[in-house]
Amino acid sequence: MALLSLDNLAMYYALESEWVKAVDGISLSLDRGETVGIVGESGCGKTSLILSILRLLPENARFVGGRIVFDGMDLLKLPEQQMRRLRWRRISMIFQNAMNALNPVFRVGDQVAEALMAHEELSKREAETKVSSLFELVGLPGSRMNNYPHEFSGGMKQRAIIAMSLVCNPDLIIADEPTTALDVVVQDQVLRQIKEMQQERDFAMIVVSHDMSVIAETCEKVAVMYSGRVIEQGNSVSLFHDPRHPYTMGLLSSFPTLRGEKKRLSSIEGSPPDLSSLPEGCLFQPRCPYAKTICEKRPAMMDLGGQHFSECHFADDPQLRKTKLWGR
Amino acid sequence: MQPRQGSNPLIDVRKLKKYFPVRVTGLQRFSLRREGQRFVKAVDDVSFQISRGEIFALAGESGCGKTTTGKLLSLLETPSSGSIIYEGEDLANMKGRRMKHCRRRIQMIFQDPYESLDPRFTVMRTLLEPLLVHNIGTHSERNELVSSILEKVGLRPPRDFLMRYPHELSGGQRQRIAVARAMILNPTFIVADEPVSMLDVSVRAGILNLMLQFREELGITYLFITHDLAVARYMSNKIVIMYLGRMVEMGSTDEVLAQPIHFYTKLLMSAVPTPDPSAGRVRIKGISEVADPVNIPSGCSFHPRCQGRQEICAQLIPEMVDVGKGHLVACHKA
Repeated sequence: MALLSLDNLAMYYALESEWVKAVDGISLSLDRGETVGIVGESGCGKTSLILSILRLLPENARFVGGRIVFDGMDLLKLPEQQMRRLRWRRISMIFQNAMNALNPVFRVGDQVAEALMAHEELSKREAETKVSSLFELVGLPGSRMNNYPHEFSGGMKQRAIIAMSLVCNPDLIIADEPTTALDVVVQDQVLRQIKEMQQERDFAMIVVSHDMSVIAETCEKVAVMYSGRVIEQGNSVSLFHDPRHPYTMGLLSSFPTLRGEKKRLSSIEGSPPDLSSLPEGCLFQPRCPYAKTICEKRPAMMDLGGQHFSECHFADDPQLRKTKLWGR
Repeated sequence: MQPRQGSNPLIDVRKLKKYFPVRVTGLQRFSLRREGQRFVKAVDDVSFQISRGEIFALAGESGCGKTTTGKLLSLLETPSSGSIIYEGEDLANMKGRRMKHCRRRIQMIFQDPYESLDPRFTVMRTLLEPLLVHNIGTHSERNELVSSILEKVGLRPPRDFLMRYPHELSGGQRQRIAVARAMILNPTFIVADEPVSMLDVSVRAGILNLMLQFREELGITYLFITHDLAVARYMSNKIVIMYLGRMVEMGSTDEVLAQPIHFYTKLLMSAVPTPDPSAGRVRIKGISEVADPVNIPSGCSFHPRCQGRQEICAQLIPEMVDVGKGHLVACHKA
């Protein structure tokens, strides 16, 4: 059984007179030791999706359908008190802006220990020993526990945040843009560290990023989000080598690469639809260079075999793959 | 118009330095260890030439001095020493009208269009501002210029955008306004500091291609500052890699990125991820952290992180040496 499965999950924000459909029918599943990457433009609902899993949403958020099953428990039915025990102990998070996620007036080691002591019956000394060994594990000298955040560089703070996410030995770690603020050399080492931890401890991971290259290198599965829906998902090799949705194709031809052939880049013109008044038909149709009359109708998720799914009428049409949609 | 490749460069930067004094705060003032004034050497002995029509990339990690170099070249900072020769004339000696003329020819595009546009100005007002400052055209000519520049940066039809405020535009549209604001004065040289790093991946290409188009059609010269080597590869024909305020490698972009010689360039390149899950990239191991810019290591400032360091590296600062075809490297092993 999958460790985490989202089944047609829908979460809307209630505004005065309308709904903002931030998560609109998303199904995903994730096994132990597996990493799924979530990509998409800003405002496509990535953050709403991961905050839904942790149930850390603002007051006006409503779950309007679907289920989140984590290790056999239906998270949406779990009383808040049990949910609290689950958070951080079993599902932890690496936040987007690690630079600001640490409190400047407390020692870094104490902040990591606090997360541990909140969930486990440990003495201060036991907690400190554990934190110090975790520091070593993420590549920080144990003695730096007594430093304050301002004495750390960006990469070191990010490592401390990773240590903090690992303190309770969780089953699932959600990483929201874990390395976006870091320089490329540091990013590379932090990502490698995370992958090594994962091999050692076998936790599952959800990585949210706008950087397709980071996703390609760290994730076994990829889900491409657009307007609150996953419009294509599959294992990363088939998705990167044989994308079957015009949007994914567009994303893949929109950024330059350091290696290989130099291609002319194309951007995806227009902007994503307003989440409070979604179009009737295919969500991507207004920006899609391949749009036909049939696209006025909402396409169903098409199973392309090998766990590859795409929400496009033409996903299995060989013509779509032959056509050069983006870039002239 | 084809970019003119003249023998005299548009910009000639000679031994440029910018040192910022370190402020002594709090109890340090009463310290018994008298150390004298210390400096952050943001830009230290940088020399290069930019020819007309060229896109010249400055790349490196944060804190390497690329933004400060850009600010010096766009007249937002004054150098501690060294000179910037623009069209044969030293910027330091320029005054009055000549200076104002220069400011008109040198424009900037900043990183974050959420911060570089005045939130209380409409698009119209934002684009009129530079024209008013430089006293260009009559009322109707100015309005016409604004419309035509909007058309050129791909915001069509212009009248749909004129009365909008920045918050009514998407990130990509905002950056297009920033490009329009730089282009409206008909500049020869544009300093673009990370112009796409704050934008969504899906719209980055649009801005990059727009800048390339202006170079092809109008022969605009760019100083393109970026931390992203892949973007530098796409945009530029020449590249300088900087580290702790100094240049470590310079040459044609294709040459430098195909045959990097400096260990730092190699380290940077090996850390860039590939958008191919089955690629299996070879990584160079090294110390990841950049040294403290106030206490720059002796000799070659990269030596503590360098895999190929020798004894001499800690003692002597390496000079830039030509290894052929205008490819310069500051490394004792080159």
